[in-house]
Amino acid sequence: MTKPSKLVCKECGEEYPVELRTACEICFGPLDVQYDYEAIGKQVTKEKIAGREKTLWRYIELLPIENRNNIVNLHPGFTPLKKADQLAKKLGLRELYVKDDTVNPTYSFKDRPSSVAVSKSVEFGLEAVGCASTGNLAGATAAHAAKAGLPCYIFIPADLEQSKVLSAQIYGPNIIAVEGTYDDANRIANLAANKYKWGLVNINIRPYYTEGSKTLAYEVCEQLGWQTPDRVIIPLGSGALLCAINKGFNELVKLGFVYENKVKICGSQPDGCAPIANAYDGKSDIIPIEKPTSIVKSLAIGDPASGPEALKIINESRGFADSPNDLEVVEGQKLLARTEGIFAEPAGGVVIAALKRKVEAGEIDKNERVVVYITGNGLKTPDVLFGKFPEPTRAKPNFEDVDRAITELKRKGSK
Amino acid sequence: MVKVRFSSAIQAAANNEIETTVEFHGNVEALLKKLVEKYGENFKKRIYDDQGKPRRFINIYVNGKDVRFVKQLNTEIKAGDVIDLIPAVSGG
Repeated sequence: MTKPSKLVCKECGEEYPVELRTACEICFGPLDVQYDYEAIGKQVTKEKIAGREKTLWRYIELLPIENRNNIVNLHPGFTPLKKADQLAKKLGLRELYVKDDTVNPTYSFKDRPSSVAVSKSVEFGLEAVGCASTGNLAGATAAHAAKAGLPCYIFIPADLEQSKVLSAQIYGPNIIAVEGTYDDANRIANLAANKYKWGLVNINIRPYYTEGSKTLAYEVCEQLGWQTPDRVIIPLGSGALLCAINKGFNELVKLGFVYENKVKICGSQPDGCAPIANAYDGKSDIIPIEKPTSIVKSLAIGDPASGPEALKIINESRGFADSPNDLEVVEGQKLLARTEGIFAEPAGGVVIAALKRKVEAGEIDKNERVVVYITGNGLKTPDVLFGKFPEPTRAKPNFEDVDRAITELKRKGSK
Repeated sequence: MVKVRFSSAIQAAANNEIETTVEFHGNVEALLKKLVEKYGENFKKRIYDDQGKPRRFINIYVNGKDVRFVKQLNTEIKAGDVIDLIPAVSGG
């Protein structure tokens, strides 16, 4: 089994061994896990991968775990890439796919980074794990902690949706609801990670954590017959997911699994918390948002840690950053559900709304092969949809009255 | 007195102290200079970039409030305040 070779600072290039390290000691910049791609290329082939387990661990050589025994496996990843013909037709696109990560073990893409980070925490011999979370990561980390038999400490903003809190609580973590924003929870988690010997997956395990997300690029290429799409649209919170997906495409080029990375990398965030999209629109630096206001709580990160890197990738790849409003987000959720039968959380609505807006604006060529990343399940956040639909048509328990109701529905023009 | 806490890689730059207390009043910029006096040249090189500005990967908080939402380096500090210096690349 090949091993990750080193950590490299993305800012100043300083190198470190593969160890428990949060940031560069010289400039405090983010650290990137690097591998010996030549050695991996000699060991791994597309055919070998094709015969492996249908989880993200099929790409084990490209993940930063050194001993397979340390893997905490809830079988995340290798989720379906669904050809979205109904939605494509509605928008006038030729080839559209949905990468459906709503079907992961805890119903969001966060199972990917947390599986890698909890496994790495086991490898480091840490006594507990945890995270700062807007909700999805809380459930993912708590579930992996349960499987690993480790205590779990989760820091969330106190106003998080009850349904998201509940979907973490079932796994038995310690949850600390910080009376403030996500950025407050994140700051406090940082101090806690420094005091205790814990692996807080997106704090002090972050260099390894983001590696899990890049499998979303590997899978899309593999599922397209080892080809890249022309364009991807990704929800933007901290920007870490977008950076990881771009890294995934680049690594496949290094291995010769795909020819080149000319993918237009696009991101979308809600207009109530859009520091990256605002910087893209204004061609400026990223200005953090103190108090996010959006129904899309999973993307309500006012101070995006990977924002500058994400913005650079978007610009260099000739992608876009968009910021639809809350109304468009809910319409996006409905559009995806009513064309493709996929119930996404609001972050998915943010992506679909951006897709629609940019197709209508003529910024997406109708002949492009587009992949949209749908990263969380709508059942986790039903609150945003209450009151958005008409009441069901009532009828008495006899066929005559039900038939009257059917006639009434048809008269109103229902499908 | 004010309390200053350091996290992760920034702690390593401050002689590995997790926190310290200093006799101080003034703004954030002056506090950083005071910390340079205490921890020396190595700390200075780590905290400031080539243009003499605090590095962009350090977030500074006064009583939990990010100074970018107050008056940046001109944010005033008073006795009893708690200041956190935390690497910016975190979360998400």
